[in-house]
Amino acid sequence: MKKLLIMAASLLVLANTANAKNKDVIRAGVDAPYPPFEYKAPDGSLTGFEIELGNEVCKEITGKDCEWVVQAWDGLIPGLLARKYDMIFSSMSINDERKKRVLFSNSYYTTPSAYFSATNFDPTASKGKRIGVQRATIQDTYITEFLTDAEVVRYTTADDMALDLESGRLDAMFVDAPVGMGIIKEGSKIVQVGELVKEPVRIFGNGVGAAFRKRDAKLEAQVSAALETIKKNGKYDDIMKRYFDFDIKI
Amino acid sequence: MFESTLEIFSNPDTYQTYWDGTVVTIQMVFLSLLIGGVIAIPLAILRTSKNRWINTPIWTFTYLFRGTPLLVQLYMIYYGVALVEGIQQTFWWVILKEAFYPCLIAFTLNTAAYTTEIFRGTIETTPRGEIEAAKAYGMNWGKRMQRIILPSAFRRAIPAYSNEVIFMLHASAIASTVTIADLLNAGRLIYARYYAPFDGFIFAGIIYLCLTFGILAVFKQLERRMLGHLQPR
Repeated sequence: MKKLLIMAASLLVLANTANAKNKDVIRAGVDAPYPPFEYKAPDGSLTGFEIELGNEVCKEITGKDCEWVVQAWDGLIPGLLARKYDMIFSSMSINDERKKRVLFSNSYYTTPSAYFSATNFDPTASKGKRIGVQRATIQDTYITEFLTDAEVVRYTTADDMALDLESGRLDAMFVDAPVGMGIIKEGSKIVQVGELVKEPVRIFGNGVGAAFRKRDAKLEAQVSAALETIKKNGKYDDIMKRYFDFDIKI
Repeated sequence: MFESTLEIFSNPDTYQTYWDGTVVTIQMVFLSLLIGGVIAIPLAILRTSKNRWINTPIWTFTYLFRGTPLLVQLYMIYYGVALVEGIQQTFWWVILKEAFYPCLIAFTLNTAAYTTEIFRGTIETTPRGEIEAAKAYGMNWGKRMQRIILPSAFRRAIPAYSNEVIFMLHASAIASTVTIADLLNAGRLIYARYYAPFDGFIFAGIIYLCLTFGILAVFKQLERRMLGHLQPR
């Protein structure tokens, strides 16, 4: 019995030292693939906008890349609370519902919404035009509230909407800019028109942030500070330009 | 949970959303049943013909539309037609551009196919004696149809047709997949607006249930008045 206790105790100590060894690496949970933010390169390694940005943040704090843990979206917050990783760096929008469970860093990107049209649609002259949106998205809220003289056509999926835009049933569609750019096929008549829309914050939200356990306020402060540094010293812009041809900085 | 339910159903907008959806659903179902029924009558008569050149094309039509899901038919007519080269320049596009008409066409053809087969069945099972009696009176084919066969066949079709009406009401929920703001769409809107799947869909379900009971009541009356002679005593 005594022997067993000693063995158990020494195992615990060993396990602890193993943990302590990894303490200087920040483990980050991510839901991949979600291109262009995170996806697997042909050689199997993780890459993408958030992976590169996350690694810069980790380097700023520990001098090393993050240790990435892939976790499906719906398990991301439970995995964080179960200590499978120390932060979530996975396009998680900051909202009040999530703030009840986790602590958010400063936001590090926000995607604007954009109009796409085949007929040179002008958002300032929307009277009687048919505009497609995905049902109950922030884009739906925005169009319903601000373009009251337009006819709002609500779709279940963005693909159906793109088909109707292609066939001429819609004058324009209003979607997340990266989603819209992804839908447009080679040689299509559809182009992005008008200004990118990010305002008001009430509708479009506060962007995307890294998430932490509530008690890890120190790590949160370090990451927020590192993000500010990277945004200022030009590394952020370098990474952004490689993945996007529009501004997602916030 | 109850607080969110209170919030949803204390907002008059909720009822407006459901009311608009209900009106669209009733409109769609009523129009497609009306037009589909009118198409089905001549088709059913022709379908009972012994001439293969008349019978087979109609059999093919009913077989196709009863053998494939309504959702597939709707997608073919709504999205498929839009991919035909140059359709945007023809006058058809005026009709097909809106979601309403492609949807009405799909629903009408589908219910016409089912109704044709229902009528055919009751026309073919007209008691031999009635037809022989009509012949003995010297009625020709047209007179027999008009005076004996059709009135009797329509009466005997009522129970089966009431099923078709109710199925059509339920099937009409797929109109929301092609942007029509029907009753299910209202449920989805409430679901997405308040993140409340139960409240949103249960209320839509209750309205469908009420509509179904309404249809049942009407057909019950019809059966009592027109099928009284066939009812068990």
